[in-house]
Amino acid sequence: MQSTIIQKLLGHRIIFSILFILLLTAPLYLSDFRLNLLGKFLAFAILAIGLDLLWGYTGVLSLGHGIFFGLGAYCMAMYLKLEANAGGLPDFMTWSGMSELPLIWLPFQYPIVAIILGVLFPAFLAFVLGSLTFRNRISGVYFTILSQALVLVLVTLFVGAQNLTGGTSGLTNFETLFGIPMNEASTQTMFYIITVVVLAAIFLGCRRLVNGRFGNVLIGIRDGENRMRFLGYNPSAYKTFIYTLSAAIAGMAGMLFVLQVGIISPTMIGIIPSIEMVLWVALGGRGTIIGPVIGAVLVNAAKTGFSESYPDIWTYFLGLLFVLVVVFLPKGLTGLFETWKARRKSQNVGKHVDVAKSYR
Amino acid sequence: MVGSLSLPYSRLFILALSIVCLVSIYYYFYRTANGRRTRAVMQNRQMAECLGVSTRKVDMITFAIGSGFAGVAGCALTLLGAIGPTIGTNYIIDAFMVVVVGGVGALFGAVAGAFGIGIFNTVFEYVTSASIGKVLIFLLIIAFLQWRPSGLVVSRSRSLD
Repeated sequence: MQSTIIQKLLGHRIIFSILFILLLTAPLYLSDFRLNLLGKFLAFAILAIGLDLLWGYTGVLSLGHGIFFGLGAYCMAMYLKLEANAGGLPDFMTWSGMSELPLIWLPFQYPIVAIILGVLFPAFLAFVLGSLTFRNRISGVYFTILSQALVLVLVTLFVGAQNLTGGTSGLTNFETLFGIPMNEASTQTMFYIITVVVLAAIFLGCRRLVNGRFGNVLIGIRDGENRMRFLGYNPSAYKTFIYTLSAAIAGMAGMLFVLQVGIISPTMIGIIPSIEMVLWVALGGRGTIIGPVIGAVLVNAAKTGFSESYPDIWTYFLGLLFVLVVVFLPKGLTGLFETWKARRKSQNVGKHVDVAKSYR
Repeated sequence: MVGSLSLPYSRLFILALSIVCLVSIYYYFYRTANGRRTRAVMQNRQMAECLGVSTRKVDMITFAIGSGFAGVAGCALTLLGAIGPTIGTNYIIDAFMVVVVGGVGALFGAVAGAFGIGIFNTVFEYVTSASIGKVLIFLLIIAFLQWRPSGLVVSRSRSLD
């Protein structure tokens, strides 16, 4: 029995190590274009892990993670924009008749500040909304709606404040990061490697978090919040913490996204992308850490693949994929794996019984 | 028509349509057997199931009715403005917010919530700008929920999730 547990752990570790090495060495066997796409998918995968912590483990569905992703992305983009203009005003500001840099943009002249704010700002917003709602035991569908309204409100604000955010066209035309030209293949490879490393770190960190006592409390809140409350835990504090954490992770994903894609606009962070993010988690399998990663990469790869092969009707394929998964695999792709494992186990048990019979 | 206030016929029609819808929904929910079952499922799903209510059937019927009324609302909207494939997304959030403010499962709450949000929305957008108005409405709703966490009308039930 003990040896099988060790084998299992070793097996997991080996599989993850192989995956990690495969991802790290991707620059060797993928073209620059494919590598860039994969990097984008992995940035989404980071966000999906954070979303799964909230939805799959704590049972709080947020339809508003696009905005946290967007805030991180905009923080990074503001710095990149300023660096591209070498101290001058970004082009859209001159167009809307501004003569000096607005106050909000000032901290983003410094890359370190921009990166820190890209994590802290979404986290702060999530903390405020989370503590105001969870404290009053606003949960379930109420919270989901509020999180979606947050997206609508902020996206409207982003579009409306054209002179500060670039309006609907967003921020683009970045050139350098720390003085290194961004659009060269070697820099993009570096961004890809950074994304893989961040993904691995967040993956391992979150796995550690949910496999311990803390994770059990989260699952307890998901399955019976009132019981946890009666046991003396404070579900609101746990929920607020996880919401804040997952917003911070989303911000990080947004920053990595902007570095590789080179543009961020309100349509990428609105209501539809926010719902799509939830779909990645659902398709991959919620309540596991590897599921959302698989889901995010697979859905986005399918999106790219379908749209390349069938430019006219690719959305139908994507829709069909979603319907099939929801109808036949309610637990997502990792659920398929679990049932397969359970079935094999029960078969093994059957074998043991047979052996026992033959001894009799 | 009345004094300096004038209402176009199309708007009067929408007003009448919504009153008809409201009355028929009220009749369905509070005067028919199916409506009673629906309310029972809403208040305590498991207990309703134990007492022989087919929750599956109730879910299906309720979803169908809800979708139908959304269609009626869509018809009314064609009289007010431009129509496009994405017209629904503009109203999703507002519709949800109405339910949150009014209280889930309360007809009167939904009506009051719709009036409240509609009026405040118009006032804020008139006083400030469209985008700032949205922010103010959102903040107002968050503040309102601090005072009334489960909406204007609370449906009491003994079920504990």
